[in-house]
Amino acid sequence: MQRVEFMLVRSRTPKSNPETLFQLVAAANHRVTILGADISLQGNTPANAPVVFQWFIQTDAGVFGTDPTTLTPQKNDRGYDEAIQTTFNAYDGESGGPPATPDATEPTGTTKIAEFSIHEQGIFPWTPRFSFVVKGGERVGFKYARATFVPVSVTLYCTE
Amino acid sequence: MLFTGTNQHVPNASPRTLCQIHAPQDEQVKILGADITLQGSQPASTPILLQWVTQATAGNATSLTPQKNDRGSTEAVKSKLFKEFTAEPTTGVVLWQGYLHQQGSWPWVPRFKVLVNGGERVGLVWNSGTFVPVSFTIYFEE
Repeated sequence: MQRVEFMLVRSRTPKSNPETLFQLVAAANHRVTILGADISLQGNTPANAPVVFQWFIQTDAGVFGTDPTTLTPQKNDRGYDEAIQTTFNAYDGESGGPPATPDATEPTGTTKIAEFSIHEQGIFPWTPRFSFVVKGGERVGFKYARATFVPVSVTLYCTE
Repeated sequence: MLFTGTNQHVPNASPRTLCQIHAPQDEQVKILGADITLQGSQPASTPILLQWVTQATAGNATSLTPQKNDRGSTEAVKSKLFKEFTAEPTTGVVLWQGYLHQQGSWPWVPRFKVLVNGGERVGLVWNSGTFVPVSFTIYFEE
């Protein structure tokens, strides 16, 4: 079976701690493999402690944010006719405040499958030593976990 | 055929395309990776946003001569490379993006070969009003 390679770009300044930057949802009966991600930050304080990032298995959708609600992956071969079956949800903790009134609810999930930290002026090529499998219908979320918020960019590499 | 494209330049606008590859008609090009390094001097500066994007037009630029890995091969590289843009191409979708500190180096290794379909254009774009020297070496296969 021909695999479809695709990338997802997520750019966001988190507003809550922790915050799921995106949730990957594998289509029913359709596995996805995560090959890696390039994660970079746009802070400007050399003395700050690095930001913790975590991958979690998540068991529900939570409540989507509005920045935006869903994310669009890009096929590596833009000549393919087939649509990507995997979907991505976006979350945010911001509101029109103050006072802050979160317009998103974090998904549920306590099973952590990977964690690392990155300095707020750094870039990290996260390369798991084997492809992470997301089984059909499963959800995995990528979280930012620090109370000081700086812009973050993630490019995720997947196949399905 | 494996080949590279390399240049050092100081961008003077934001956004500014650092390099564009134009794949030959009816032939795919694969981007194997890139080394991107900056030569700024301010530790407390905000990192630079870099993006790989599809581009619908040529813009205005100077040709960059691709260098074959095997200089003994007689076949010519068919892809066209461009550098030092003075007018930006029209941007399509963002394929990759990342922030790089102005004193940083980034050995970009995509987890699969990034395809440029026949006739398509893909560019590496600088997005910052802070301008420091940038060097890049991009690794291709056609």
